[in-house]
Parts: sequence; C-alpha cells; structure tokens
Amino acid sequence: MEAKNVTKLFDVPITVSNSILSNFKNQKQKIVKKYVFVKSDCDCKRRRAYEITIMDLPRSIMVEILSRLPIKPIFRAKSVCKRWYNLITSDPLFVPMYQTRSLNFPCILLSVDCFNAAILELKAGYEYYSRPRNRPVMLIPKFNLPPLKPKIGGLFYEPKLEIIGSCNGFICLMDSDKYDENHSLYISNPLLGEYLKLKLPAYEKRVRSVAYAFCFSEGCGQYKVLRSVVRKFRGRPEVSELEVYTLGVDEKWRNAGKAPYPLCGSFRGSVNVNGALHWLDDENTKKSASIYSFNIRTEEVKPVPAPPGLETPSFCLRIVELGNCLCLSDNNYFQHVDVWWMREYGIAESWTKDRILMDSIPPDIPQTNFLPIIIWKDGEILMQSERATQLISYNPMEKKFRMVNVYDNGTAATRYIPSFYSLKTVMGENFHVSNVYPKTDIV
Amino acid sequence: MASSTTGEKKILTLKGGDNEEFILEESLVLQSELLKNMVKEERVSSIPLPSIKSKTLVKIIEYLKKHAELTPSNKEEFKNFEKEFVNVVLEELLDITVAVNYLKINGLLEFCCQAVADRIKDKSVEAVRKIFRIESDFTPEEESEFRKETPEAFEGDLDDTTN
Repeated sequence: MEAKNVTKLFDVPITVSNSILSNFKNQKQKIVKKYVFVKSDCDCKRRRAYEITIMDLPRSIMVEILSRLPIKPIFRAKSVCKRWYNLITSDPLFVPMYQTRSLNFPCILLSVDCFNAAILELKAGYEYYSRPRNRPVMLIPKFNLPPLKPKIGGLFYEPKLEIIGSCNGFICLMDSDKYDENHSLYISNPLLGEYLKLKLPAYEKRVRSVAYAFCFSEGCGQYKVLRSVVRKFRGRPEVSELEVYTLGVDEKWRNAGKAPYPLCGSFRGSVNVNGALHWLDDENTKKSASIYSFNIRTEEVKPVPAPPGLETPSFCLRIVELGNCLCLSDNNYFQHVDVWWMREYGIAESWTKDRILMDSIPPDIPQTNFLPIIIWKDGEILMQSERATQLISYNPMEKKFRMVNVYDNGTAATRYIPSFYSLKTVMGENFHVSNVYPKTDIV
Repeated sequence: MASSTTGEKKILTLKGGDNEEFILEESLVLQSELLKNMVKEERVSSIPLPSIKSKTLVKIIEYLKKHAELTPSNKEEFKNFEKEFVNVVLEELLDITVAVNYLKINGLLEFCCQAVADRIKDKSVEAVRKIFRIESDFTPEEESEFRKETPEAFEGDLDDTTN
C-alpha cells in the first residue's frame, strides 16, 4: 500500500520537472525547489482523501462511462490500461449496456468497393454539410472481415463481398457471386473480428437462382438466414421455395415451403420490420407492386397491403425501414420522389405519402433513384442516390436537401447498430468462432 | 440538528464531510433514492454524509434545486445550467460522480457519466492517460498489436486539448 502511494506521489513532480527542464535548461536550482515543494505538499493521507482519480470509480460506474463511447473511442479506451481493457472485453455488464446506448450513435454499413465493407459512425453535432473541412469519419473493418478466398478461374464474375444484411451488430456477407457454385456466406461481428462460415446446401444443377436474406426476431430471439431458391425440373415449371437456417439451432437448412415467384432479384433489398422480413415482388411486367412478408418466428409467408391505388411497377420502388416503419420510396417520376410510410403495420389505409420535389435537390446531386437509409439528426432522412456514392440528407420540415460529406467511395449503405456481443452468444459457448486476428492474450 | 417544520415544508439537515451543515427542504432530497429511503423509512431529520466533501455537496444541492424548478418553459436554461455544472476540473467532476452514485440520483448520474465519457471521447490514448493520470500496464508489443488491429481508431480528428 505504502509503496503504491509513493509511486503515485512521484508522478506529478517528475512530469513537472521534465516540462520545466525543457523550458529552462539552465535553471536547475529552481527545478529542485519546485520538486521539493510539490513533494512535501503531497502528504500521503491528504492526497488519498482529496484527490480522487478515475481508477477509484466503482466498476459499475466505469462501465456506465465506457459504454457511452462511440466505436472508435472504444478501441482507443481498450488500449489505455488493463482495467479498461477487461471492462470492455469481459465485463458482463458492458455488452448489454453498450447495446442500449448504441442507438445513440447512428451508424451505417457501406460496401466501399468489391472487397471491403466499412462502418461509418455518424457523430451527433458534427457538421457534415459544409465542405472541405470535414474528413470522412470512417472506421474500416476490412481488418475484421472474413478473409476472401482466391478466385479460381473467375473470368465471368468479379470477386466481391456483398452485404446481405445487418441485425444487432451481426452482419451477413457473401463472397463472390451467388451464381458461382463456390460462393460462401459469413456471419460476422466486425467490431470483435469474429466470423463464421455458414454451411450451404450442396450444389445442385437444377437450381436456377438463389438469393439470401438475414433477419432477427425479437419474439423468439433467433437469427435466421433465408435462402430463396428457384429450381427447374425437366418438363415442369420452375419451383420457387424458401429455405431457412436458424443460427445456433439448425444443423441443416430447412425447407420453409413455397415462395411467391419470382423473387430473387428483390430479395436482396429485404427489410426487417415488426418481426417479419419484407420484400417486393420481382415482376417487371406487372403494373402495380406486391409486398410479401416472412414472419420470422412462425415462418409464414403472407402478402402485405401496398398503398391503395399505387401504380408503380416494383422495379421503380425500393422497400426500406425508417424508424420502425415499413416504407417505400417511389422513383417512378421525373419531378418528384414519393416516400410512403405504413404508419400502422398491416393496415392498408395507414399508408401516407411524403412528396419530395426534385426542384429541391441541389444541382450537384445526381438525380438517380433515392434510397432512404436511416432517420438521423432531428428527423432528417439520410438517403443515398443509387449507383452514386453521394449521401444526402432530407429535412422534411424545411423540405430541403443537403449534401452530406462523409465518405467518398462508398456504395450501398445500410443501417448498422454497433454491438460487442460475441457470436458465441448466438451459436453456443462451445462453437468455434474464427477470428480475423489471433486474440491478443492479455492477462 | 433537530427536525423542525415550517408550515407544511419539512426541513432536513445534511452534514458534509467537513462537518458543514446544509439545511434544506426535505422534498428536494427525494430525488436521491438513498436519502428518500432514509427520510421515509427511518424518519431521520439529519443525515451525516462524511464521505462527501462540502464543496461537492453544495454543487449537488444546487443541481437538485435547479432540477426541482425545471418546467417545460425553462428547459433551455436548464440545459445551459447542466452544461456549466459539469464544466469543472476533472477531480471535481469525479467527486460529484462518486457522490451522486452513492446518493443514487439516477438522472444526474447518467449526466455525469456522459460528461466523463465526453472527456475521453475525442482524445488520443496518450492524452487520456495523461489527463486521467493512468499508467499504461501494457507491454509495447501489446500496444502495437492494438494499433495493428484497428488502425483507424488511432488516427483522425483527435482533439487533445486538456480539460
């Protein structure tokens, strides 16, 4: 105890003498005086009674504090000292607390290029609109994404990493192309560097197309990966089915019955709302669109009413989730974009429309399809212009668009909720989870 | 020391660490779960709080007063007060945080924790260590390992101005 206090005691005087040393090289006499003064002033008892340091805070408070840090500062805090490292990496209080706080730091997940995905933290109070000063606030988890396998003879398909979905901090990724018989699916927590490779059903020649989706049901606490498969049997029409793999439960993929046909193209943009996964039909010939839902708990497929009277073919619509509401963005017109909100889930009459006039779009924003991503900054809607890398923010009160300068090379953004839950909490303690980096052993 | 009643308002005495006494309305301390229990269940009128410095206690009482006066119309004013409230030297902020945790004033505790987190948030590892007087107990190898794993976290717009 005594020895500890002594070392603590010397902290201050030594720093003082050092800084003074550099400033007044020739005034050694003075330094010594100062040194002695500080030392004699620091009577052990007084110091212990009066100068509290952050290391004196109880564990629960320290976790409270650390769980309020955004992602990048968490990584820095982890390397400050072992006590903080242990609180962040192994205190049972930290992870659940972080989960409840992390809604305060809106994040989006980006495909940066064919190989890399990135997490982007959107800082509150940060001025994203004015130009050159703002550097991208990007946390690139390529360090933590599953290593890509080398491409064998891939003349036709570019190797790529596609984000299938993101639920509670877990993301589902697909490497190479779904038409490639060697494609793989991964589930990863990019913040922990953890990942696992999903076992896919054996390759079948009669499979015409596949598509994947990733969802979570609060009702049953389960994460499920969905696979839409279209098979062609000789002499018969194609069959479209859904297959399900529940993480940590299923040994194999299960057949979940027939699915509306065809849905492969649209299955990609599926969204999780109200315990169900939603997607739009994939028919280019139909005049109006249909919405389908997959109840994640009961695994029942049902149609969901589209806005009554809406006559926009599905390829001009995008389905999104905004503030727990099922939404459609209608890009069928030149003069405006309509954002439809299903205010009451399942009620056709509750669909309401927000019309965004193209006139309000600044001339330097490419006028392609608009895809809303999240609600941020006091109700503004963060959107992405499709096929462009530009993010824009729409203020529904002022009816104004603004360019958001956060990154310069990201495409396809989705919402992401940071979490430090290990994949083992889903897969079971004994499951072997791979890690991008060998774990640093810190005792 | 003895309890007294003026009209309907009950009066309570808090005794800080330096034996300084603070006489205040009982209703004010009900925001503290700890004091509320003491007042309601044990019917005490004087509460010794030897672990809390008087200076800290003054600050907390000031907060309780402001918080009790909070109405929808002076929300902005209260926000500014809160901002100023935590704009103190680090030791004082930590003192307040520990005391508030002990007194179980939940809203204020959250606010204090956020204030401490805000002081960690945008700083480099070295600056955090310096400001909070933490000695690193990692080996240089371990430290470089952290940087290798998440290089982005260690770069960028850090603001190391001390406070």
